[in-house]
Amino acid sequence: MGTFVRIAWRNMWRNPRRSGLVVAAMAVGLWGLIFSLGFMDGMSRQMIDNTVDSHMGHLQVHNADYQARVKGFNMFHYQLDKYISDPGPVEQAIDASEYVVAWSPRIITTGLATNAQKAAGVAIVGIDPKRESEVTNIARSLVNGRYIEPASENTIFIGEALAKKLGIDVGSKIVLMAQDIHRDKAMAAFRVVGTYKTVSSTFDKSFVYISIGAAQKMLGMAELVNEFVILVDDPSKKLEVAKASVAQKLDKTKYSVMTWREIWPLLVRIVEMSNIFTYVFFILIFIAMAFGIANAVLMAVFERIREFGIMKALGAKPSQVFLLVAIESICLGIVGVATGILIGWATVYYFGRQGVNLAVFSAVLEQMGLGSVIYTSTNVSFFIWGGLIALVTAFLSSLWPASKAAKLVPVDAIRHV
Amino acid sequence: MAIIELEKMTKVYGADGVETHALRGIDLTIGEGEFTAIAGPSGSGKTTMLNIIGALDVPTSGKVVVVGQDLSAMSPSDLSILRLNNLGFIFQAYNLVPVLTALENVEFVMLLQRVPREERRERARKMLEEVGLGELINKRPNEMSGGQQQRVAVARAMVSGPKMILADEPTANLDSETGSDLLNLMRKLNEEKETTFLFSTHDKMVMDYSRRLVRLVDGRIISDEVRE
Repeated sequence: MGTFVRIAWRNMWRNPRRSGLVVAAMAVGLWGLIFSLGFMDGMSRQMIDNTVDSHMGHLQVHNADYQARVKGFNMFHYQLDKYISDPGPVEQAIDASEYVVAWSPRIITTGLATNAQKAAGVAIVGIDPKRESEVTNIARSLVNGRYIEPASENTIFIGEALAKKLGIDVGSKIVLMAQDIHRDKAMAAFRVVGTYKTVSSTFDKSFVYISIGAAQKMLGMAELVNEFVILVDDPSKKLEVAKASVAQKLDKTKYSVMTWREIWPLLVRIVEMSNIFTYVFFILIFIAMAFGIANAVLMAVFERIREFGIMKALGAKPSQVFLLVAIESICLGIVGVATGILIGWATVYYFGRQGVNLAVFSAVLEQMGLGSVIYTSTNVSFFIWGGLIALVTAFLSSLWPASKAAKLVPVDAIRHV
Repeated sequence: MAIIELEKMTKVYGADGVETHALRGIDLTIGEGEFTAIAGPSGSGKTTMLNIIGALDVPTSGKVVVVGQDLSAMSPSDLSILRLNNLGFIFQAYNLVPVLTALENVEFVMLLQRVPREERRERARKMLEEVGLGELINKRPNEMSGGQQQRVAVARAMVSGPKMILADEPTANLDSETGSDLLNLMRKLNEEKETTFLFSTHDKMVMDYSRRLVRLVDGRIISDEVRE
């Protein structure tokens, strides 16, 4: 076996240009695969992370009648009247779960933000500023002024994009209008203490933050809340377990616990669809690769008909000749895969740090909850799978040339010039 | 004792309805330890005959018994085992594996025979020394002269201790001096190890070196003389 590998390896370098071309084709194919996987995965993760980090959290608890499911992009709608009437037990249930890292209560409703000149439709979010800062990245997205404090009843934290839209700045006064819990008109004045900026300008134009106390007072909700947002430990693996651990302590008829996947199924669909595109792309790459390898190996076999004839005349079995050709192809595959993984890794590593700047498409990307810079993800499984599939492709595409070599009749093959 | 027995052996090549009679009824017996040349002009059927004896080709009719085995009754894989264990081959030229060194080429047959690595190496080295190439064991074929390559081929054919060596025009691509060196070497091996040698040739020198000369014309034996 060792000698077969040696023969195959040396044969591979007999025609360095041809082997080099095959290696290059494989490397480029694999590189494309690793990069596109890294890009797609990075994009999906960013899309999810941005949404989860800025607002959604991993789990949410609502009143059982609350329709939490999001139907489109950022098309939230909130039902103030489907509130959690007794937050105490819910808080205890969440606290009791070992999977929960942080949680925060909210009051959230839609309304209008106005100043003297302009008005804009907004989502009014009443938060516990400290808890909210542990659950979402809004506090960390501060650009001007400061974040709101728990006790304050008339300060508001808004997106920079909204400030621009309304033509206001830190220190300006705005009035929020909404329906209160009794469907009466509610209204309160706030002073802008700070502005934030997330990757999504759509989000920044929509969400305004006031303290939960101010929201309860404005909307007539006393001690009530209508949403709990929860962050869990290792959500990629433990999301469902965490959900179950919270849900089992709560009365199902009164409360619903949902994961971000359930709240925003469209996001999950988008990720799934992009995966399907990627897989189709791979299949095409590997088919092209297979033809390239088969062609090169077939050429190599035709060039050496005499040599295989002599090997067979000396007593080499067809299976041994077959093996020799297959090993040669796998050697090519290994070099191609190693090269492809190396440049693939270098590329995703680089773009994982620097990001791929897609500023041209920023409007579309923002709609999808993405920034204009996509960071590729370096997932070890991409390298392993990509490499394995490429090797299998190399082996499969050698089957035909190898069986041709194995079937050579020695007496004819020796006479072959 | 006979190592080759041919009875009424014929070989007909047929293509597009045109039949070519390469061998037209050969009766021949060759004993163990002989050093025999089959001579004849090109197209006389000598290579065909050698291929059939070497279990590389099958006769159209007649009986072929080589090292006591009737080849007509054997499957291709049995034939390859017979070749591997009983026969050594030397071809006209360019018959070494180009990517292997002299030593590795000589080891190749033993590799197919599954001889353990150390033993393989040792026997190949000894055999190369015997054919006078002890210095060149790590050279590849393209780094050696034609005569040296043919010596490696002899070493490869001999190393597994076959009962018989079949050589198809072994001197055809060599100059006369190198050719005679090679023939001396083969005769020495024939005498020392009692290996049977069977040549096909149209080289006068090979005929002179042989102890028995079988002449072939148009697929028939026209003369068979023992010379000393």
